Amino acid sequence: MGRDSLGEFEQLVLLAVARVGDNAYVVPILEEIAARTGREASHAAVYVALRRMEAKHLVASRLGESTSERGGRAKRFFRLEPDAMERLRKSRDALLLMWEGVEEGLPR
Amino acid sequence: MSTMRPRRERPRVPTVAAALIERIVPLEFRRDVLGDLEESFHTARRARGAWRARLWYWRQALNFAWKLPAAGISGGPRNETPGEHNVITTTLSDIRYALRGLLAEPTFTLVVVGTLALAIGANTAIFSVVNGLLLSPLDYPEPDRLVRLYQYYAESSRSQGAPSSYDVVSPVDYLDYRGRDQIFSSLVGYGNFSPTGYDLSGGGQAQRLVSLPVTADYFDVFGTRPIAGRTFERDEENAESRVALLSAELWRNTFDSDPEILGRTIQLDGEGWEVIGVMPPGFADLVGGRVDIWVPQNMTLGGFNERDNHYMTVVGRLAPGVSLGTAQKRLDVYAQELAASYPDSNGGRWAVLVPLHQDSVGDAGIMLWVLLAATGAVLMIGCVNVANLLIGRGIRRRKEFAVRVVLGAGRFRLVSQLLIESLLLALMGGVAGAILAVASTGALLRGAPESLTIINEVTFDLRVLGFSLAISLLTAVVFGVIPALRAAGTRLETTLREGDRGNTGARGTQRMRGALVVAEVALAFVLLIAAGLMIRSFWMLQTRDLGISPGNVVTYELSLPETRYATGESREAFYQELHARVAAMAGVEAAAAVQWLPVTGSLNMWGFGVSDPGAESGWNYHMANIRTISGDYLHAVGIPLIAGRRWGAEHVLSAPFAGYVNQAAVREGWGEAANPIGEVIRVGGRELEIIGIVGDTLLNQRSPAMPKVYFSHTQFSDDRRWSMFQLVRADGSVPDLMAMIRAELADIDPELVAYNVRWLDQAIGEGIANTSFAMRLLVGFAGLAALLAALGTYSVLAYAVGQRQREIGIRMALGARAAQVQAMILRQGLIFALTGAAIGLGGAYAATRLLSSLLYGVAATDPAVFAVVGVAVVLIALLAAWIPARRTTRVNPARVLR
Repeated sequence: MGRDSLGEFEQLVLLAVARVGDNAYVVPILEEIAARTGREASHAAVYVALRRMEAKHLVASRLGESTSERGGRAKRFFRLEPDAMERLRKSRDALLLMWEGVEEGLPR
Repeated sequence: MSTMRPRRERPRVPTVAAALIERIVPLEFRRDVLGDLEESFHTARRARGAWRARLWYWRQALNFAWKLPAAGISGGPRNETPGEHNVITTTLSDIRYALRGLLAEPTFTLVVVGTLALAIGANTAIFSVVNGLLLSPLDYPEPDRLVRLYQYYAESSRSQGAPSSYDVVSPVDYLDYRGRDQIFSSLVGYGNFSPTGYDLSGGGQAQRLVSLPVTADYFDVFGTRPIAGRTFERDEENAESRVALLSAELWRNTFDSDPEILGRTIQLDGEGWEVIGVMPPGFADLVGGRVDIWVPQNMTLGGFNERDNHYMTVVGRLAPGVSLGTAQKRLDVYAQELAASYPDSNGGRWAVLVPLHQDSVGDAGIMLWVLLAATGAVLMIGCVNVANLLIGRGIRRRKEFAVRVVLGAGRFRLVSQLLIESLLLALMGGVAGAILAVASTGALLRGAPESLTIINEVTFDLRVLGFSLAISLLTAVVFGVIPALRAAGTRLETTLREGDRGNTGARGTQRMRGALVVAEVALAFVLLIAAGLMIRSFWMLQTRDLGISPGNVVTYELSLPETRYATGESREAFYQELHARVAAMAGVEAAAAVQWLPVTGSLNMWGFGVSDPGAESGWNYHMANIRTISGDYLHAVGIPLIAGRRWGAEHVLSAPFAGYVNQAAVREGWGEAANPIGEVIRVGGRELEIIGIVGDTLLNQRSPAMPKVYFSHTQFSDDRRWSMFQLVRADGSVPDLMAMIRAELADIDPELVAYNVRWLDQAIGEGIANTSFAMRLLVGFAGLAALLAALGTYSVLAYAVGQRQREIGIRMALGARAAQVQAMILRQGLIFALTGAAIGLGGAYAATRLLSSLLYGVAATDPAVFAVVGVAVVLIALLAAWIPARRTTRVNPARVLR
């Protein structure tokens, strides 16, 4: 794998953005990760990952509406850039290839 | 118009945490990050409550503080006025930077943290003891009003005598003092003149209980009440009372917290005693020690309750509004009244009040302060060592600093960053030190004299932790500031130009390091002197002629129950048989018993009258210690008979009383050269013929011999139930002496238990436990100080050798021999040692005065100790210098000059 390969946490964040869709800002992203994997990530971790991936043009962001629950502050929505889907696929394929034939040999 | 409904304040996120995030997160993302966090905060609050939500928020904020700088994301443009420092992010990045730097040099970090941990640990451990014993008040209500009352004898003046002359109190005087409500609101008398106890029987195995006979005022004095039942009444202070209060621990462990315990009859020495109360759990009596049961003290006049029989320990609570000074003045007046009424017993008798806390700490107070000072010196040496290491590290990092200054770092930033490094080191050292202290205090207290441990519990409370933290921070400043200022003061161009060659460090820096080493040596010198003086004192005490030879003498106690040994004759018969049987055992030289073990500081002062026709009563009174003895006591403890004869078969119960006096009593009563054999003295209301003069024995290891009068148990067995210590001198050939003694004992009376079995020298050793304890700790601290000073000398010289390789190479290339180069380094070490010793000499001269009350038989300026320590310091310094000096021979001129 090249130097552009995605880290595990980055994959989780990207997939969460994909799953949540139009409403993808940090809070639902965290909830999605927690709901699916049981992992309680911190805001900072997700924030740092998103910042890094935005710099690599894997995600793009825009400011949206605000609610009173947020102290009147706007939400920042994220969406995937085309590169991201490509990289996610690569990562998945690489993993699947590596997994091939391993499953049977593993103790249950 | 105001609304009627109170406006419900919306719960807010933690303000400080939000401000932290505001400072860390770049401006363009700040609002949405804060919004996300606030939204999640409210979700968390609804799910887990406000308090946990706040905790969660804080964790998130710290996460940002930690992760953003790591990811290279900085706060970017700020809302504040330009130029204002973002203190939090700067500090955080300094901490990260410092940690990275320290981890990169693990040996350096370990040495520094280890040094600080030892020094801070020693300080914290000793301080925890000081805090528990000296700084914390006694654990009783209004502890400041508690006083110990002593009596003392002074011919004419009422100047308070030295504490060593303080005596316990006469029971009849006690009753008089108890009536003075202008002085005391309550006053308790203890009958604890010897360890007393009972065998608790019935319901399984017999158990030895420690009992404390006290007068009824006891509970008012200590401000305590039983958790169940009642206390004693004054009309129960007699020999017939059979009522007892149990300790909570006895009630719980032996009586399974029986709720019906009150009114129950328990069997003590075969007699029925009624339980009238249970004391509160954890109630500790620091005068009486650990106690299982409290019983009323017999205060019936007559018998041993005579005005001139001093045996009571007396503790009082001052009357409301009466100060210690006022109480003492009133007591002095009252002592004169008593002296006027009872000239025989109370002429020249005074009473003195000592605050109970001070009384129970005694000499140990000075000892603990000395030990704290010693650990303080160790800490200073540790700081100096660390400062030296930091300066060395600063020299190694000069290029780094120079580059950073060139790149725009201000000097203030450099200094503050170095201080943060020091602070981190100190805190690591402090935490490790506190752990060391917690771990070692148990061992420390196990080695401490028993008298210390009973006063208060030694715990790690907030004050100790605060102390530990404070000295950690203080050390950071002490060892950090000078190196930081030095390092930050580096000149740019010279440093950068120097490159890697000739990195000697500024001349001033080397001088500074030399001065620090000299300071360490001086401090270590003072500590070594203190330790040396303590060793000599201990040696003097150990080798002092006690007047007895305690080797190979075993001692134990027995209690003869009153039910089965009701008469003096039966007790005497028992002792005679026991002593005869034990003395006949193989390997046993003598068997005996005595009311008090010799040289253990026990007073039992009675007046003895020397016939004087000129005196009003016909007797001229002096004070003596009374010892009732049984069996071959003189041989058993090794006291010589100087003149006269021993008791013989004719000295039976009905015969005229005959006794021994010691040489000190002869000097006191008749004069140096007198021979009072055959003279009659008056003591305890009886007349006694002196038939023997025996050698002096010391009162304790520090005190001189006092006059003593010896009674024979044969003749005095009816006088009272003497509680006796048994003594057996063996020749050392019997491996298990005690097992054989127990077998004989079981053969005579299988129900008796021999307890408190000790060697006599062990029992005597308890008297100098303070000295021994202080000596061992001081030796330990002085050793640590010497080691640190040696390390300091070594590290500075080793560094100098490493840096001066070119110079050494040039010297050797020009024909200098290795020995000459080595001598140069050794000379440097010697200069450190001699200068340090010279400064230390002055310091020691001043400081060891503090010690003088702990010393014995050696002056605080003992030349021998000073000489030995001086030579030792020079040798240690030479050794520390020799290792780097040897390395100079490995310098290869061809290589270093290339």
